[in-house]
Amino acid sequence: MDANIQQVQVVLFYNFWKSSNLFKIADSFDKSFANIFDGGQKSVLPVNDQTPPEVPRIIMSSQDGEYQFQLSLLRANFIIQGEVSSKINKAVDFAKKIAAVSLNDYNWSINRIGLVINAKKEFNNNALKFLDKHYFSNNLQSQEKQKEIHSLIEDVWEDEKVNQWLRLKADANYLNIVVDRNLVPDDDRDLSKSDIFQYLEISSEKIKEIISNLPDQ
Amino acid sequence: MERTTSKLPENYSINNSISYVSEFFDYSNLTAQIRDNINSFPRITEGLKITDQFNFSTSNLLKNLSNIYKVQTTVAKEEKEISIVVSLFSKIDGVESIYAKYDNGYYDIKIFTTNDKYDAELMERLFNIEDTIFEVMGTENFSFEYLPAKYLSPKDVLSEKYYIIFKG
Repeated sequence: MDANIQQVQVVLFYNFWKSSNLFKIADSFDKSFANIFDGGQKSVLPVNDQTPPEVPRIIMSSQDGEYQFQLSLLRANFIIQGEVSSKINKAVDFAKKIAAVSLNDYNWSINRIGLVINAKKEFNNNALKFLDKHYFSNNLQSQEKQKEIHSLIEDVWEDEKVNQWLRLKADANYLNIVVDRNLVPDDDRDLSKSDIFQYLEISSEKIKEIISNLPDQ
Repeated sequence: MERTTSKLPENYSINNSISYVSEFFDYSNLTAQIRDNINSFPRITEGLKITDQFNFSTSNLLKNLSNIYKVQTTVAKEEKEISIVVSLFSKIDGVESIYAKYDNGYYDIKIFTTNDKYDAELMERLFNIEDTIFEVMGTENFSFEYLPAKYLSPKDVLSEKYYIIFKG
């Protein structure tokens, strides 16, 4: 299937890094991103230590909103959306930069990675019929307005369990596709830079393959 | 792939951390006490004190400082200082946004205000906070500049090195 990739989100999970200076940290990431956030909004949030660790301490958004970066004590999110070409490859490249800064500059421990792709396919006829034909044995009810399936495959990478979710949601003429491939949580896992690079490359190719292998009509 | 011992938030601590902050505040000699506290966090437990040297909103100022010291128990010194700066200025009506640039231990802070003409009362409040910060944290690590947001856009006057740290 030739679906339109709407958004790519890559997430690196930390073992709760400790903050020394948020400005220095923000500068490190900003520099590695090669000015894509210049002209946009770059925020450092000096919050107190009762603020939940999942609340972002650094938020960057590009001028057109196509690139977003959020850094909390527990995770780094990088999101690409809009009209950017080759979103998946670019997200993987940015995730590698995040990993490099996190490990090389600050020695933070990364224990988990997630890669989530949102895509969309427009059908000339009803997208519910597509879903029904391929996944529900032509049992479409006339009253049905939306239909969706959630499928989980448990994959393995380097002896580590990977959850690979495929979600298909038909709504009128559109089929919304979500592929979420993430390492299962494990606070004791400590990924090296090469682990992370390898996981990202393998996962991005697998996700492309999953979308590509969806039936066309 | 390596395995490590979990570093959960509950176990988190740094060298300059304190485990307990007194709820009691004796409002005399605040400046000296805060200076001491910043230099040596554990002394916060002795409580904060103040002389009534500010004419405006002294109690608010103190309340802010006190609350910050009460809740911030494990953050690093630099981060604690900048959060205090944000907390104090952000409580002032007329402060629209605050931007900061950090370079080698020095914070350059730009405060954008909402007034469309010179507002002596607002400026007095801002200068009072600035004086307090300088007294408590020293003058060598901070500079402040006040800019009218109505006439100057941060994107036009600030370089990409500045981060927004508060927006009202």
